[in-house]
Amino acid sequence: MEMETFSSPHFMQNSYLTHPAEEALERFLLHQCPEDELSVVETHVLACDSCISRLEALETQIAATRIALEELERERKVAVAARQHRSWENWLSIPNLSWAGAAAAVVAAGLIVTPQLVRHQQTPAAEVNLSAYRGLENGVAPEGRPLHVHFNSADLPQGPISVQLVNDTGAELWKGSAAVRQDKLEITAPKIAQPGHYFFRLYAGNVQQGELLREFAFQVK
Amino acid sequence: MVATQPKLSPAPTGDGNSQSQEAREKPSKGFTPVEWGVLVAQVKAGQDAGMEQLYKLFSRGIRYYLCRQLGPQELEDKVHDTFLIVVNAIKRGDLREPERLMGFVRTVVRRQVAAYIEQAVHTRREQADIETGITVADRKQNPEQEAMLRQKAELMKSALAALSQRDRDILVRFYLKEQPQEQICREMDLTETQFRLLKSRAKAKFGEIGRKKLASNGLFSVFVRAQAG
Repeated sequence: MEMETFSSPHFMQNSYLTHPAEEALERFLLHQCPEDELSVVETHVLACDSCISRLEALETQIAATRIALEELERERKVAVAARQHRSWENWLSIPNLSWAGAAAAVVAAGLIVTPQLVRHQQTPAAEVNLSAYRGLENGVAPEGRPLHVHFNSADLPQGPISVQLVNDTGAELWKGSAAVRQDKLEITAPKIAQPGHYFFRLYAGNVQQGELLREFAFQVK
Repeated sequence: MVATQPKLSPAPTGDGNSQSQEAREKPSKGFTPVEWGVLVAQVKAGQDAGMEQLYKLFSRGIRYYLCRQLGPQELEDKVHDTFLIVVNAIKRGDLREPERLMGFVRTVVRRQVAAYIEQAVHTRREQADIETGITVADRKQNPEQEAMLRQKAELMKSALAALSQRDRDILVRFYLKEQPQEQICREMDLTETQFRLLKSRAKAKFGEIGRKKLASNGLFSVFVRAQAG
């Protein structure tokens, strides 16, 4: 039985007593509840031991599902890379190599005749997903690489956001601005040279005077 | 006049999750009708019976909420402080309608969470730790819980491996990329029912594999006993 939209206070009061459906609890754990549903689920859960047990079981199930999906995705990417490598190996037969050699000679001649510009390649940014979620490991980011960070921005107001990066003593390392659009928030932050524990803080308005909305912990290794 | 709550509706049915089914089979243990007016009057009068019932009713929920928002550090102190705030507010007469007690407690708890976060931000900004090294609470579970989680993850992996790649992609979007259901259904051309069925299928497969594993472990232990005997 799914939660319905609410109108009268009397209905609202009765809704606090109704056990939420599993999907409502799942949305609650994933921070995807609409405002009215969040109000009802949170209020109910505060006084219902059985629904807390359901939430705890669901948390474990979601955590296990995430671990399983991450491993399967990793194995899939390794398998795809291995298949591509095998296709390269198959290509390395003698006739193909002869043609490749001939083509390489032509290209080399062209390179000698035509000077090439050297492209300066930047270290690619590392993709980091951060979620303020109990029970899961904090995000991990690599040392010495710019960070492209995806924040769990469910329940955050749409619009401009200030982002601050601080170290474990609270000293500001960087700040910037971004915007929550369609429940997505992404920023690019500069590389962090030192391993350790860091925090991203999200503020409504500016960092000095704005309201702190959410804080994300992560580690640089 | 005492306000009594109407009979509670039963918990929802429809999924194969045995743990939530167990919770549903014991609704009376988890959520009993409460005469809010009597409870609030007892708390206001400082009666032990009222305080005890209030604590029994809300302590686990407050603990869960605070742990989820703030982590396990100093949790008992925070639960106790929050409970005291609720009691004092009731005694002061801040709760005008006893039947709104649940919503009132929620408001108090949310304000407490905001206050704790603000205090933590202020502390980090204004003070430097003398100790170096340990400044972030370890939110990992204990080794036994980690082992259980690992075991469940292995079972879930077997269940998910039995699905098609497209179905797995849908679950990756939902659980790893945390995309909302509406976005996934729109971009992958699914109805809400198809999406729900997919999740049910994955959970059912997980349950089936779990039961098979338990059954095979049971048989194995029988063989071992037979040999030892």
